Order: sequence, then C-alpha cells, then structure tokens
Amino acid sequence: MWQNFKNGFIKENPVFALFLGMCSALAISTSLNNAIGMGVCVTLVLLFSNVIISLMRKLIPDEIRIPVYIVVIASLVTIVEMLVHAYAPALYQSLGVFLSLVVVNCIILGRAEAFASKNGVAASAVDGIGMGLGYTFALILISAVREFLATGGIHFANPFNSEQILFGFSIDALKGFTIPLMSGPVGAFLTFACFAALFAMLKERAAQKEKEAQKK
Amino acid sequence: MKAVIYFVVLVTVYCVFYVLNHRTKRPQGCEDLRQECESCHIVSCPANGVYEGGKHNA
Amino acid sequence: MNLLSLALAAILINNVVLTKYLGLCPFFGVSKSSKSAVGMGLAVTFVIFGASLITYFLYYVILVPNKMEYMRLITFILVIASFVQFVEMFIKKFSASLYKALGIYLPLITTNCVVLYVAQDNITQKYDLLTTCVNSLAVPIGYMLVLVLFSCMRERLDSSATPKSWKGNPIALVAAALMALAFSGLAGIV
Repeated sequence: MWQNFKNGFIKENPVFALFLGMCSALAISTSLNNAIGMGVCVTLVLLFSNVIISLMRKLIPDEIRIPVYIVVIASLVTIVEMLVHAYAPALYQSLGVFLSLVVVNCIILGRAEAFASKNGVAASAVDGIGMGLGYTFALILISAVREFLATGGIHFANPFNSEQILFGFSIDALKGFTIPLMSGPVGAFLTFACFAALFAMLKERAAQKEKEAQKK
Repeated sequence: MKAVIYFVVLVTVYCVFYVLNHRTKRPQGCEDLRQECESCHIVSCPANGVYEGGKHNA
Repeated sequence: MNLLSLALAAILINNVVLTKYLGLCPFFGVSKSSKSAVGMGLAVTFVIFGASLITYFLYYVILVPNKMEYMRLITFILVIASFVQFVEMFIKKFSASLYKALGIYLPLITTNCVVLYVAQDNITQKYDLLTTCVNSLAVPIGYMLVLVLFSCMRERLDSSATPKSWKGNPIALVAAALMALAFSGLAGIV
C-alpha cells in the first residue's frame, strides 16, 4: 500500500510523468496560495471519488461505467466548489473557472477507471491521496519557481482569512531583477518543460538502476 | 424535489445516448482506425484503445 | 461589444491555448501530424458550437426560472457528454467518410477543458444569443489554428536531434512557450 502512495509522487507523478491535468497545473501555479488551494481541492475530490467508485464497483453495470463516473465526479466538484465559495472566497476568486474544470481533469477520471474500479476501498483511498498529493507537490514546485522568479519572494496566506500571511519571505535585493514574464504563459510552459525533462531524466536513471540490479 | 427529477432525467438521457452509441457498430472500412493520440499510451486517458469492452473497441 | 473584435480577440489575442492554458492534453497529444490536427480542430469546433447553444438554452429556459443555478456544472458536463455521444452515433450511422475524418477524436473531446470553458464563459459573461454563437465559433477556430501551427512545428521537431530527456513532451513545451511569446505580442490590440 505504501508503494501505491509513493507511486503518485515520482514514478507516476500525474503532472510530470503522465502529463495529465496540465491545463490547471499551468494556469493555477502563478502563486503558492493558488497552488496549494487547488491541490487540496483536487486531492479531496480524488479521494472521495475513488472511495465512492470503489464502494460501488460491484453495483455498476459494465456498460454505463463512464457515465456513472462522470456523474459522481461532477457532483463532488459541485459540492467542493460551493464549500470553497463559502469558506475561502479569496481562493474562489483567484481559482476562477479552473475549479469547475476539475470535473474534466484527466487525473480523476483516469484513476477512477484504472484503479478504483478494480481495487478495494482502502487501496483506492491511498491511491487517491497519493496521486492528489503528487499533483499538489508538482504544483508547489512549479509555483514556487514561478512566483520566486516573477516577484522575488514567496508568500502563503491563510485561505480562510486572506489577511493573515502564514509563511512568506521575499528577497529585496532581487527586486530589480524580477522576470514578470514568468507569471505569464511563457514562464509556465518553460518551467514545466524544465521539470518534465528533469523527471524524465530521473525516471531514466531509476530504470537503468533497476536493469543493472536485475542483471546481477 | 424539482432538482432531483431534473438530475435523474439528465443522467438517464446521457446513459441512453451512451449505450446507444456503444452498441452502434463502426461503419465499414473504419473498424481498424486507431487514435493517433500520443497520450494514449497512458492508461488513464479515456480514449485509450487498450480497454476491452471499454469505451472503444480496439 | 463589437462582434468582429470579439471574434478577433478570441482567435488571436486571447487565444484559448496560449493565453488561457486550456485544451492542453489534446494539444500535446494529437499534434503529431497536421492531418490529425485538422480533424481534431473541426470536431472540436462542431462540438463546442452545438454544446454551447444547447447549454445556453438549458440554462436560461430551465435553470434560471426554477432557481436551480447550482446545478449548472452538472448540467453542462452531462449535456456535453450526451451531445458528444449523440454526434458520434449520428456520424457512425450516416456518414462513413465523416467518421473516418473526425469520428475517432470525438470521445476525447468530452474531457477537453475548452468545451466546458466556453459553455461556462458564455454564462458568466452574460452574452446574448448572437454573441454566444460568435464566441462559440471563434474560440475553437483559434484553437484549431494554434493546433495546426503547432503540429507543423512538431513534425519538424520530431525529426531533429534533441537530448534524450527532452524528447517528446518537454521540447514540445518549450516550442509552445516560444509560440506563446510570439502571440503575446498581440496583447492589448483589442
């Protein structure tokens, strides 16, 4: 089970290795706040949808699998959207339409189809959390780089009370050298490309090590 | 109450269309067409042709 | 707002892929050859136009009078999914040549962010019917334009020598970044 959880982080990181959920990953990662908020929402939806679908997997007739998954996911996202709108309105404003777009996020439908429909509740829940945290991890990486390069600092505010800064630093000496372009599409694509290449390289190395270990 | 009825109607319409589409055979000459989508080697993509009896018959 | 400037803005200036980061999955997946890019673009255009009109009517005729706006997301995604299934079934039965050209891309469009985005956008921006039609045609045309351009670039990229870990998606992302840079020069015209 721990293996399932670890999978979501490096080997099968949904964003960098599988290239799923790219739309929201690039759009949201302009600041650390948005990244963590979105990551938590996706993890929640992923966890609950995995659990619900895993519970229902014996009851769903095989032919209408996909419609059922879509209905479950859409209902969950509506609920999460309403909760965020009520309790963290600043986050709702900055996430915008991308919170609704979690419905068509390939990760959630993909994990439901590939994992939750074939495994028990506990395993599906762990897989959901693992993938969701992997997604959040990827988002945090990208947004940390982008926010730092674009504004010379990183801030993280309390989502329920946007005045309160929980964690932040900014390096004043770099203020004159910021690259505002990084918070735009160009920066998004470039940062993502670099991380994707880095992960491909890590995966390659891990595969080679495994091959050598097998030979011995 | 209205919302529940509306929801059930929508879901039924979707399921009906889905099943009808699933049972309609591909036209002749198109049976072996494959998606050229590169991301389809990813198992999670819904359009992957790998699933047997799934959304797409390979 | 002037319809022509709206169309121009949607196609070139606020291009849905390069400025709004939407529709990226098929953008990197289906752009291996320009023929498939054209097929995908046409399918997306048709689906977005049809689905936007249906969702527009459903929203203003059923949801708003009955005060069920919270059902918006569920309605939209179900309508889009049903419409895609319906169109695929229709094409399968009545036109084999059309199916050959764009039938295989249709299922992929259900989870395409652009469709849901356009449907939602028409509502949040409170467009009237004519503006909705223009918007729903212009956005996917912009998408198709960028898709075709990118697939031509990609055909060249795949035959050049790239370092091993950059092969495939990473280098394509860099190409997309350069494209975004080029298109961002148009910002502020409208």
